[in-house]
Amino acid sequence: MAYDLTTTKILIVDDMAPMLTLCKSILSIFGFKNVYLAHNGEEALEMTIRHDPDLIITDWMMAPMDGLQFTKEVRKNPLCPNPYVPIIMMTGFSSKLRVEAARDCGITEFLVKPFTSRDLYNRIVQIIERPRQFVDASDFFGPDRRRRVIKDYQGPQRRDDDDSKQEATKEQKSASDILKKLRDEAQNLSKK
Amino acid sequence: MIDHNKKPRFIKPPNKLKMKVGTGGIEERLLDDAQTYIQQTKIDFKPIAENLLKDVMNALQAARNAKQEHEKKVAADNLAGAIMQLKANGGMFNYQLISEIAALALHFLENSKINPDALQVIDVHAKTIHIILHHNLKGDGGKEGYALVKELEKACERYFSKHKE
Repeated sequence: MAYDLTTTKILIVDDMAPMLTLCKSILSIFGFKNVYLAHNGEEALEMTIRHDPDLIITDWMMAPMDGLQFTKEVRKNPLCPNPYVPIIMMTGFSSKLRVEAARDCGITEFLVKPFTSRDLYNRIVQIIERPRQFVDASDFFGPDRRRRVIKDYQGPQRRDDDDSKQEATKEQKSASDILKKLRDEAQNLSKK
Repeated sequence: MIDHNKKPRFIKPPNKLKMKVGTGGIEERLLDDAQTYIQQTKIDFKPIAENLLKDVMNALQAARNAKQEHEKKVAADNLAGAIMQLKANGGMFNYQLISEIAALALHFLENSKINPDALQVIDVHAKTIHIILHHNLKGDGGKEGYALVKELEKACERYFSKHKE
């Protein structure tokens, strides 16, 4: 028995048309039939109000409305039909500060680009199988930024197992090793 | 206005998605198919990357011209945004080496103060990406890609040794 994705409505938001095409194709291969596309936060907000998606995957940097502002709108705008809708932020940013900023705006999961099909799938599974509770506080409304530990969890693990971290070829690895070393040096420099 | 006395409330919304999709995940075969699709995509990233690189060069110039602190901050943000696009999309469209070099530049930028030396290091990254595009070095770039990364390493090491003192 497998997931039945045929009735799930999913909205993808990205200002790069090729990225939208790529994501739509990946999700279609997974089995999603109702995939909506938007090119910026403003368009996405309009589509969210009209189609009430079950899941949103959004880019960060877009104009006239970026992914962070769009997320805030989805969580707070009374016209949005479901303020609890899961939102995956897919972006090339990956620093802790950026991830925290996105979490503070109310995203559910963070997906770093470039990603593999399995990385995307793992985030979707997280949302389906391990949903976050919501916090309604004076200065925040959104998914709980801490995740509960479920002892008997059988699903895929995150981050360290991400395929995009594991698929480097041997030659790539040697170049990657150098780049990693330089990254570490830049990091050390910033601490001085 | 924020009400600081409001007590946080925890809500467990109904899992609508789970109710719709049921159980079982998706077949491994489909994950493989999707990955093959990504790797064999016919989307030509080169013209996109060339435009993104132009954005990086323009942002670099703006950063060089910035005098006030707030101008430097805006310039650094714009530069980070432009480099991030190369990092994010290169790897999605079979230019993994561009993605890795842009990732390094982004990391460097996010951990350094904007000064002429730092901007020069970013400039070296951008020029390396330009060469990769000019020679259409897809994937890891092979031996030529490796040689470029070694050159980049030398440029960065010079910066690191100067600024460690």
